[in-house]
Amino acid sequence: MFTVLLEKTVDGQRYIDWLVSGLGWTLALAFFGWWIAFAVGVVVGIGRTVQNPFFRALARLYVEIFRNIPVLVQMFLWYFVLPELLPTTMGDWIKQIPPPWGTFFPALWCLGLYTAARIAEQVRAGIEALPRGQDEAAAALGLSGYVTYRHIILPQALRLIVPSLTSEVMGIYKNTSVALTIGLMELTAQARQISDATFQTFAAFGAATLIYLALALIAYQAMMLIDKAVRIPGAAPGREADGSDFDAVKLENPVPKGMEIVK
Amino acid sequence: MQQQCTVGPADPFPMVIVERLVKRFGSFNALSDVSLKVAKGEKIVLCGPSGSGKSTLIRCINHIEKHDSGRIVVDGIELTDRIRDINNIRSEVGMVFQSFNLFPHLSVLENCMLAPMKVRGLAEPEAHERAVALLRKVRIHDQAHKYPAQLSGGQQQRVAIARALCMQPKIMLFDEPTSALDPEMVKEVLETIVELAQDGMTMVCVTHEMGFAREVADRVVFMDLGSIVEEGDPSTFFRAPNTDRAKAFLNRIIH
Amino acid sequence: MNSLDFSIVLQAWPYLWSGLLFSLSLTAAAFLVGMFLGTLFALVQHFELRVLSQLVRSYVALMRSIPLILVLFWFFFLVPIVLGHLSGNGRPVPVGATYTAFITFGLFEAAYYSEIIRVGLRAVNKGQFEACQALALSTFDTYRHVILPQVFRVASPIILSQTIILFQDTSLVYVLSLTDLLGAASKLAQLHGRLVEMYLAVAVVYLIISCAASQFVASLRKKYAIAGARR
Ligand SMILES: Nc1ncnc2c1ncn2[C@@H]1O[C@H](COP(=O)(O)OP(=O)(O)OP(=O)(O)O)[C@@H](O)[C@H]1O
Ligand SMILES: [Mg+2]
Repeated sequence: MFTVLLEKTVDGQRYIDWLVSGLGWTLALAFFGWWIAFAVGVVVGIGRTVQNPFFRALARLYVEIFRNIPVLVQMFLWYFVLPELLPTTMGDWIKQIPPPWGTFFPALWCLGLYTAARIAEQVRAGIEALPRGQDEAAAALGLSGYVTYRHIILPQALRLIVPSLTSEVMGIYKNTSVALTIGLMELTAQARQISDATFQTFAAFGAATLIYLALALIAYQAMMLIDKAVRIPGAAPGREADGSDFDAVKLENPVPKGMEIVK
Repeated sequence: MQQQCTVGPADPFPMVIVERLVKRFGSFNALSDVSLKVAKGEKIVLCGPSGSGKSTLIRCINHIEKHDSGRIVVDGIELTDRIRDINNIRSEVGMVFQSFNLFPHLSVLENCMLAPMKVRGLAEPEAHERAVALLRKVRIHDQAHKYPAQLSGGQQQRVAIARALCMQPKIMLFDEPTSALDPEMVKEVLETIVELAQDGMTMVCVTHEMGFAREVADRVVFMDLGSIVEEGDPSTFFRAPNTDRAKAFLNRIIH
Repeated sequence: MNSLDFSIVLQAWPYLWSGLLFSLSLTAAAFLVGMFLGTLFALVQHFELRVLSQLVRSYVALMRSIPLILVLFWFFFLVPIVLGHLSGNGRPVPVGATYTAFITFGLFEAAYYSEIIRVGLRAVNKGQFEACQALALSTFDTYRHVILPQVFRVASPIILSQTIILFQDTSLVYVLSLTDLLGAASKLAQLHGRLVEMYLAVAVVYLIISCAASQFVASLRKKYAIAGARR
């Protein structure tokens, strides 16, 4: 079925090389985008919980804007709109960045900052889930706000949200495919290109699907390992790492025990 | 086999026959060889230390737990794996739980009307009429349109009793109906059950309320480690139990 | 920096409006189909029906692991073929991008809704099932009148949040060249060379709708939090 992937393309490569190059862009976007998202997300998430009303409002504004505009629209804003809004010289300079990079960077900012808004909400939930006593104990010790967050609150909150961050990792690598709309030849785009060139749609999409599945598996396993590695000895195991959509269910109802009818 | 049954008052047609019942959870014997007969109109109080299998026994009677061997006959129907038999028995057996288990999304009235309509096929007006009557009986009819979360524990448990009664059961099973309640609410629920007993309802009640047992029980059955250790009329049992295990148990609950 | 001229947006409004209606109807249809199938999928897994639950589990895992755009491409390619087989003569049936979008979103969202409902089912207190058994309610009545209503209630904030994400995701039908809100804007933007105004306007529309919906969900959450506290 996949033999077509070994055939020669018009440009002298094999189709599989297209896929590999697509995978490369996908991974690069997901990896670097993740670190942007994580850094910004933690800062904004903290901002959501600080005393200062101005920073709180700012963080909230960030989250609302980036979470409530479709990622595809955000992609267009970064790619088409931003250069027009900047001073002409700067905009022209951006527009002249050569092909893969000219689409890669907008896609990178877009995915990073979009995912950051989602991570910020997780961080906030993690911080709010900590017992109030932690705050007070730190204050009683005379620790400053910065030290409290840096050494008391964050280390605990981040550990707590590792399982729900799994779904954000999965989210960002899946969203990399949106970059094809501005012309970045990532994995899905390459699969479609192969399908168009060879009419072997099953093979092309099938191969891409398998790669995405493998990535999902790796991401999931990696997050499980991290969860295990950072768990505080003696603490209860984290919530099942199976996605933020329902982590929220569990956060809200920690009480009712699971029910298996037939087990 | 038959002679091993511990028999209550002589009754050719007992309401419940439990014979050589065995229930295992994995390799653990929660009930080993339990036999018990409940006559029509008889009131039995089941007691015993925690984990002795009291809940398991009464849960087996309406097949909420599936027994591993032995026989259960309720009102002449033998409990087999057939869903027909199970449902027939369940609709004759009312059950009240320690934790009430009211349906939180339904009003008090709807809690009481659901099963009569869906299981007995009653039309809505009749189900409504019956529910109102029984809610009045447990003295909670003025709360009929509230939701369970808006009631106190004692009120919730009385609704649970009314809900079970709406199926017009021939026997009622109570699993520690008052042990999840604040002390001041225990009385109102016990009074309701006493009234029910005075109406002649057959019942098996797991409880450690000795005053209640003295007042209504025809027989006290004491269980330990998954079997029936001793039984007798309440005044004798509470005053002078025969077995050491029962003595130890009574000492513990009195102090 | 060119001067911005948002009057173009006002002129284009009827066209954008029809695009928005398409986005909303796609959302509504996918919500209905997705919730129906998702509930079915969740029940299949809850009852642990042997082969079927394994199949459903794999389907859900697959849908949750690959990008929606790839799913759209798959369905765009597969649906005509599958329908051809179903109709008997084996020839692909051209169904068009619109129907493909409806089918894809319904089936795709079913995977996400089913996970929410599956977890909701697990969270129902065991005593609820026992009370139903004690009342001799049939399995059907138990789920129809007691269990599922509670699950939908508890999970409603999450179901709605997922639906807001669904609404945003419908913009991806852009890759099928459909005329949803974004598609309409993009077509006009290219026609008039007014990308900046169009895309900004579209972003604002999405922002307003999603924000309003999130606000509604948040108020719902608060309401349930209070109701829960009283228990
Ligand atoms: N679902 C189950 N799985 C495994 N073991 C169980 C289960 N249910 C009950 N058991 C065990 O069976 C034994 C009897 O339990 P049961 O609930 O009948 O005790 P009980 O007499 O009602 O105690 P209590 O007074 O605490 O309610 C206990 O040791 C319990 O741990
Ligand atoms: Mg018990």
